[in-house]
Order: sequence, then structure tokens, then C-alpha cells
Amino acid sequence: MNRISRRDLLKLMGITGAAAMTPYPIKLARAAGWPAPAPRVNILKSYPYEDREVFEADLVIVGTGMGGLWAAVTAAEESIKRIAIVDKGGLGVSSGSGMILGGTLYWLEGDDLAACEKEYLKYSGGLGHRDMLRDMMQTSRRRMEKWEKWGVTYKGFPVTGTRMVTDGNRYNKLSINPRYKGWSCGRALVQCLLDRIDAQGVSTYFSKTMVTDLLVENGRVNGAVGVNRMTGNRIIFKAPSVILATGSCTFGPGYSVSAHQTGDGYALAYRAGNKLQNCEFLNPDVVARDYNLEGGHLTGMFGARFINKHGKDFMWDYDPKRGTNSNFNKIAFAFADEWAKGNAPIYLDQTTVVYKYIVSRIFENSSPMNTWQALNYKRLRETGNAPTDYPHNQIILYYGLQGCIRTNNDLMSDEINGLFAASLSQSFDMSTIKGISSARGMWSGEKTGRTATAYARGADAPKLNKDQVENALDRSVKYMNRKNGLTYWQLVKKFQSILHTPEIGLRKTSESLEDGLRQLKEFKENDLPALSAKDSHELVKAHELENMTLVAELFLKSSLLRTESRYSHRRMEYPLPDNENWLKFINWQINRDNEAEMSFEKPV
Amino acid sequence: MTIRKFDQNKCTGCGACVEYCTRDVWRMDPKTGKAYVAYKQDCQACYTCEINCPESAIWVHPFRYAPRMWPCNMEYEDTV
Repeated sequence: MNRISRRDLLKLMGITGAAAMTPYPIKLARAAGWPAPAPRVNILKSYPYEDREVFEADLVIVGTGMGGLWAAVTAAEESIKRIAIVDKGGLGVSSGSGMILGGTLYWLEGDDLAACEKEYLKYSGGLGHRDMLRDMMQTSRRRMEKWEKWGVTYKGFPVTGTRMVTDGNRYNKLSINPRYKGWSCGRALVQCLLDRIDAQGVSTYFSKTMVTDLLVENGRVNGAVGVNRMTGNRIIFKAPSVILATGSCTFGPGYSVSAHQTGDGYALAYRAGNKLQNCEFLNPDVVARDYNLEGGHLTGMFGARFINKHGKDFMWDYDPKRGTNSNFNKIAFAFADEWAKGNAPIYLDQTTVVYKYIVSRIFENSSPMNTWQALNYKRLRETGNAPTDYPHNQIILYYGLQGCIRTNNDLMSDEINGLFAASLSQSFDMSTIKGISSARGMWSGEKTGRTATAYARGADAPKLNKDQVENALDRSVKYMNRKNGLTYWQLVKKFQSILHTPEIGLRKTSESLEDGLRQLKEFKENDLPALSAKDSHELVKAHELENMTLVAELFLKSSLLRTESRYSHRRMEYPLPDNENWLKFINWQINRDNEAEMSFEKPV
Repeated sequence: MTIRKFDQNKCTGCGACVEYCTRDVWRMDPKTGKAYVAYKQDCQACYTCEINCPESAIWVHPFRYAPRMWPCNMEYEDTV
């Protein structure tokens, strides 16, 4: 590793930091201390099922992030009788929602919704579903009131209060620092919802269960099939409606918040015949290489900065106004360009005097770090690896494709009756600004909770097709103990070496994308069929790899099609947005020959 | 590995770590009735087990196993 020398660092110190002194009163640093240890909670017991057991429900919810949990609470309030909540990890905790800071965009009285809508669509490159966005903004007040009713308080920051403006956009108003029964941040919101669901008593939990197939016949949902990663038992859900409240696709685990996002919801919907949209927008972020800490660019306003291997504070070349405190995309593009110039690796330098001795202390003591982030920071300090100790190596993280499962304004599939999409897998836009993911999770969860309940009430009883169920059951364990098989870990490295390169992610050219497609085709034909799992734990990972491969192909194909640059999609030959030809969505749908068929859709 | 210390003597076999682990790293040993780390390479250092362990038997190191992504000067670290 190329460490920056002490002398170089001293040279770099000072100037940028002093200009941006913190507005917080310094005495806070001494007053608050570390956040109190988290309360331990009762475990929601997962339903123990036998192999091939049939579970009848009115509604199956796949995924327990903000969207899935809101859907469960809302559906129970709409007096649905039986809900199955399924998650491939732990309930609530395996989603990003439990790990985020919990800042959420709300639109309350006095907010200019029309101006906000315009600004928001401009930010996300002009592509977005306006009706859905309006619906999210107009119903926002209702969800805020519900949080208050359920006992969540938004404590805010000392100076900025509970509504903070971010991203240099005065219409983005975040409510920050949620608290609930001793929990803080996103974990507080998740815990509140889990408590609600437990109190309502109509939900059955299936943790560590991965849904591997939807049971769809004649354009309607009849249920789903899943497999337990601990016992290997398979379960058949018989239900008229399914909500896919899954995350996005990050092409391989690399970060605690997004490690589980392997495009499972996209793949389920796509294989069942649903359209996928916005597959070319792969949103990037920057994290520390060795540990889980993101948002480093935010400390740019307090004197921290990204430096390349020569010690140069390069971000000013790419964003003269904001430097290191730029937005996700600009930083990621800058990283890729520095890499192309041979200036990688890149470090985040928080050792400047102002940052190290004033701001970081205040952050540690008074900022609303949730339990794991606070513990993480403390542990980094204990082990001599605090971000302020030395410049830390930074890498690009794919935060994931955003917005893929195409639905109508009721968030129900146009192709498959009874299939709903919420959370990050909901297609309504493709941007990431701070607080939008939790806002869209809450909105889409609540909305699907209502619309799916209404649908399930009026729907005919689901009928299971015996052959289809048997096929799905066989498919769910098809990777088990193949002869001469390769393990997940052997294959995922190869897969990631195709996807995780700057030319594929952030410096796309037709050559690089075509090359990527060729390599992926080889991988799909030669390597993937040899994938073998020695137990049920690896079986689920094998399914994840299969899903990622499917989504990766659509990502490369649509990136190749879109001959312009827009938002997180950047083609080096076409550096500008082309609104004349490309203000439209690319949709992918599976056809009868099992091939991806492309169509365009104009935004309303 | 990221789960650096685990005190089996403190473990009461309550199963909190197993139920809560987001990546299915922990398993229960039916013979001893205690938890053990079954799939260490999947750990993402999210601290969920440490936070939820009622006996404080777990200590997690912040450095995770990660696919070595760009732009950095390292190849994949062979963790498995």
C-alpha cells in the first residue's frame, strides 16, 4: 500500500478546513458521550416448517426493509387475515433500513410541492414517474403522523433542527435522527415497525428463507416457493398476492448495508414475465476499503478531502464549487478518471487539524450515529484505525441498480395480477439523494399494503399447478451437490472481475460494454452451470449469483443501448444528455424463447 | 476473521446471534447447545450479533472481508 508521507500531509493541511468551521457549539463534545448501548430485544420466532410444507396466506411479503415492514403493518391495519413475511436474512436487520442513519425526506405543510417535483426530476436526469412522485409527496404527512402515533420521535441536530436541507437543493428537507425506545437511526424505525407487526398478530415470520420462484399462471400470482438456508427445507406459499419489497442489485457483497442486495426481486419478477426498467443506472458511492463507513464526502465541508496517490486534493478539478463535498456521481466519476490517469489508489484524508481535533470529536459525541455505526467508530479507534489516524484507502461501491420492477401507479405489475413491487426494487425513479430511499420505502410499502389488500380481497382463491410447483421445488435445490462443481466463492470472483472495473461501471464505452457482455456470456455458458452448493447455506448464495448474472446481463445490454450520459450512466463517447432521443425508459421483458426483449417507454 | 473473539463459556445458547445474523454466519451446535461461527467468510462486520448478544460474548473487529474493488492497488485478498 502506498502510504502518504507525513510531510506531504502536513503540506496539505489547513486551508480548506479552516474555512468551514462547524456551526455546532463545542461544549456538546464533552456533554453527550457515546450513545447508550442498544436495548436487547425479544426475537421474533421464525415459523419452523417441514420440507415441502404448504403455507396458505392472503399476502406474501418478500423482504423486510422499510418497504416490506410498512406493507405488513398497513395490510394488517386494512384487516387482512394472514400475512407471510419472508426474508433471506434476519427479520428487519438484514435490510439497509436497519443500518442507515434514518434521515427521511418528508413534505409537510408549506412545502412547495410543484417546485420540489421539478427540482427532483431535474436532479434525477428528468427520467421518473411523475404521478408516483406526486403521490409520495402528497401522502407524506400521513406517514409522519403515524410515526408520531407509534412513538418515534425525530430529535434532529442541535442547530439545524429536525428538518435539514441537503444536496444543495433547498427543497430536499430531511427529518433526521429518529429515536424509539432507546434505539436510534434506521434501527429505531425498523424496531418500531417490528413491534407494530408483532402486536397486530396476523403475520407469520419466515427468516433465513429465500424465495426462489414465483408461482404465476395465466397472468396471475398463485404463490411462491422458497428454501430455508439453515435447514434446507422448502416451503410453498399459496397466496393470491405477493409484494416484492426487495433491495436492488449490487453485483456482489462488499459492504454491510448492501451485501444482501443481489437482485433477487428483479430476477423473480423478470422470470415471471414482468418488465424491468432503468437497468442501466448503477448508482455508485464511495466507502472505506477495509471497513464499513460511508458518507466520507460529507466531511469535505469540514476540511477532510479525497487525495490520490500523489497526495493531490483532486476533487477541486472535478467539482470546483464543492470539492470533496460533491455528490455521489461526480465523486465516483472523478475516482474512475483518476484511476484511468494512473493516480489510484485514492485515500480519504481526515487528518487535517480542524477535522481531527474539533469536528470528528463532535461527530462522535453528538451526531445521531446508530448503534452499529457508533460501535464501528469506537472499534476503529480502539484498534488504531480511526479515520483520523491516517488517510484511509477508499473504493467505489456499487450501491445498486435503482428502480427496476416496472409497475402501474397502484404499484401492481401490468403483466401479472397480484404481483406488487415496493422498496428499492420499485421502478419509479433512479436517483439517490439523501433520504429518498427511506421515503420511497415507506411510501411504496404503505401503498402496496393497501393496494395488495384490496386486490387480495377481490381475487379468486389461488390454485396451485402441480407440475409448476414440482418444477419450482426442483429448481430451488438444483445447485445442491453437483459433481465436479465449483463453489460460489470460486465463481463470484470471476463474476466480479467482469463487473467491478471502471470501464464497466463509470467509464462506459461501446468496446468495454461489448467486451463485458462477451465475458459475461462465457461466464454464463461455461462457469455458471458448474456452480455447486455443498449445503443449504451455499445453495442460497448460488441462487444469488444466478440472479446477479441475470441482472448484470440486462445492465450491460441497456448500458450499451443508451448512447448518451444521464445521471449515473456515463458513456465516454457521448458525454452529454440527449433529451431529444433518450428521454425515455428502456424496458426488458422475457419472451417465449427465454430471451430478453427490449421496448421503450416515454415518461408521462 | 471479523468475529475476532467469541467466549463459548459465556454462551447460553439463546440463539440471538443465529436468528439475527444477516448473512447466516452463526449456527447452533446441537451437541454442545452453543453457537459457533460456521461461515466466517460471509461476515460483513455489521456488529448485529455483538449488539444483540445478551451475554456480551462476542467481539467483532471492524475490518471485513471484502471483494477488493477498484480503484485500489490490491488484488482480491484470498480470504476463503
